[in-house]
Amino acid sequence: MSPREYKLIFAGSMGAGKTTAIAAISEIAPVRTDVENTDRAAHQKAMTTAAMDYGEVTLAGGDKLRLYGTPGQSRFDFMWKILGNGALGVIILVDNSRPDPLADLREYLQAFRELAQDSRAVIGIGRGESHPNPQLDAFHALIRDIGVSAPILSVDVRRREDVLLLLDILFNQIEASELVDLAPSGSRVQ
Amino acid sequence: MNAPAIRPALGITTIGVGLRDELLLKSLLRIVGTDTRDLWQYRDDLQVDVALCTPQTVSSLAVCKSGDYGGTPRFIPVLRADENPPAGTPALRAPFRAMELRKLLDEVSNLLMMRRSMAAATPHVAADIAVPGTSAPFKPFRFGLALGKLIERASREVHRIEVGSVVLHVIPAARALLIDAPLDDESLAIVLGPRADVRIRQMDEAEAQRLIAGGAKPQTIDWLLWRAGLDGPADHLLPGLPEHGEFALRRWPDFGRLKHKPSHFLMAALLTRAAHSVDALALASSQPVADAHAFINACALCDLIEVRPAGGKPASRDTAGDEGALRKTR
Amino acid sequence: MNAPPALNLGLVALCQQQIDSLIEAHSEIRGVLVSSIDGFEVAARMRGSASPAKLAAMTSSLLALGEAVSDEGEVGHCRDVVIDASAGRVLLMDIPHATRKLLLTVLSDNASTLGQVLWAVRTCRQEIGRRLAE
Repeated sequence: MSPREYKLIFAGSMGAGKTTAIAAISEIAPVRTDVENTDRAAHQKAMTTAAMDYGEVTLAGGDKLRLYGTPGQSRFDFMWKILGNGALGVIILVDNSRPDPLADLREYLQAFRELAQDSRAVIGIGRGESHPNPQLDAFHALIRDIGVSAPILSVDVRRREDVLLLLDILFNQIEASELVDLAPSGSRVQ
Repeated sequence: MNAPAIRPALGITTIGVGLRDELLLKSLLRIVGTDTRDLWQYRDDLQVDVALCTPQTVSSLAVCKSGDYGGTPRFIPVLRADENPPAGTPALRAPFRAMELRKLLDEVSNLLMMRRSMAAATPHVAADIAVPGTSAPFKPFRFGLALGKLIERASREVHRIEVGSVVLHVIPAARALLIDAPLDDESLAIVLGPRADVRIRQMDEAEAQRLIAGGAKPQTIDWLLWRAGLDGPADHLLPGLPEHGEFALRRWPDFGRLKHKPSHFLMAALLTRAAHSVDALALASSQPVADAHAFINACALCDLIEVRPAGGKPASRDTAGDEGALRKTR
Repeated sequence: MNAPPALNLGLVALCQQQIDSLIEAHSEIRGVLVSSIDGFEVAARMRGSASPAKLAAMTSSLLALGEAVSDEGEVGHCRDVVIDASAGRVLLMDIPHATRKLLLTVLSDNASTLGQVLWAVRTCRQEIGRRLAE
């Protein structure tokens, strides 16, 4: 069988590390659409993604992952829809040092609701070392309220192994959903 | 999100931040007051838990420079746009915003709880705590079970745990381990080993104070509970877990902070989706039964496991065909 | 909602004035928008119901993509992007300046050629660029 290609989306608020995460694992020089950030009240960083980031990873069997990073700000939400089309899964990155990280997560889960409800989402919480609140329990309670089950992990996306951890867990979750859904019966976890 | 309980209010005041910021703080307290972990009340004196101060103010500068950001009251620097926060203390940016104020107050609540635990309000004396099974010469999971029980009691006092030659300090209510340096492999092997004696003692106030003065820092204890389950005997489940029961995960373990093997990811994914028996979990994840035992034990010690009545037929790899498109990326 | 970037009010007024005169002088131009490079509306006038805030974000994305495509294709810097649509045309371009870029979006109908529209917006683009340089 010829190698297949899978599309993955990195979503999350401005400054959560989407561009960094893709750069950490892409085997090609990532395509970037950085422009000057004029909204320093929202985030201090100098540049921000205006359209998308793009990177590639080849898996052991030759299959290829196409990694798309979305712009964080909600004024670019049309790009979320465009990029999310046909995606296998979404990695949502949350910056715990922002004013309301729980509201951030809620917004991106809402935007990628279909993937999340289909167990095709994984959530990475960053800057938890310096900003421990809200704690992981609060994020778990939030996604339970929304009616989604997703792994939530403390990560530092500057570390390649942390980004690979997110991908690994996303894939295992998709694989498990195929295994369990194909099984004739079983006591499902609500 | 917190249940309304009868709580004594904590005090907050300002030093030298200006009338406008003081008024803003008072009105914000009314807005965020119902959402914070503790109740907060503005006071005009210094009999408070928190004082917001400008680092430039001479009087507050002297206080801040003394280095005791952690004292009582706790001094929180108020920063203007161009100022950087000092290390080792929470800070608040002016003009105050409701969300940031709430976050800061909750952060301070956590720190205060830590302090209260260590410098407990009620004077107490050291007391030994019985550890089940200490009389037996060989008791698997002894440390993990003892630690799990201790955490369950949710005491706010500092407890000293001696395992052979290794000493650990724990605040159960905060699920926190107080340590000044990471545990080395040798100490960890002693702690997790089946043969060491485990002694738990509630510390008295003076001991707890000495511990803080010595620079012990709190860190989450879950990694140690996890290791205690994972590194325990893998030929059976923890006492109390039915060998033929079905298990489900309440939520995903934080693999970002817990030692893991790649096979744990599929096990976690399976158990969050459907309850599995140990054998079914091993079969579905193509792992030895011993690994399924170890994984469930680790999850159970971290309070992530739910036991379900035995029921329907669990998933098996054979039924899934070759749809496992997703090979590992490493 | 979108917040305007920190621009001085004089510049915003100038942009609005340029936009107004462009629209008033050319009936084939259906809308004009000046926005920041990261997608905030600075000044706009639309004859139809198009949202300047949304167009501002989309212009930022499209020109950033144009730059990425030009870079990948090794054809230098992206100057403008033209969208030829069934009932009109959208012209997206930057207002050149060394440090502080603004973007210009022009919506036109099919009554005129691309060259005519480009010629019409030239003064607007140059005048704003000149004021930015001051």
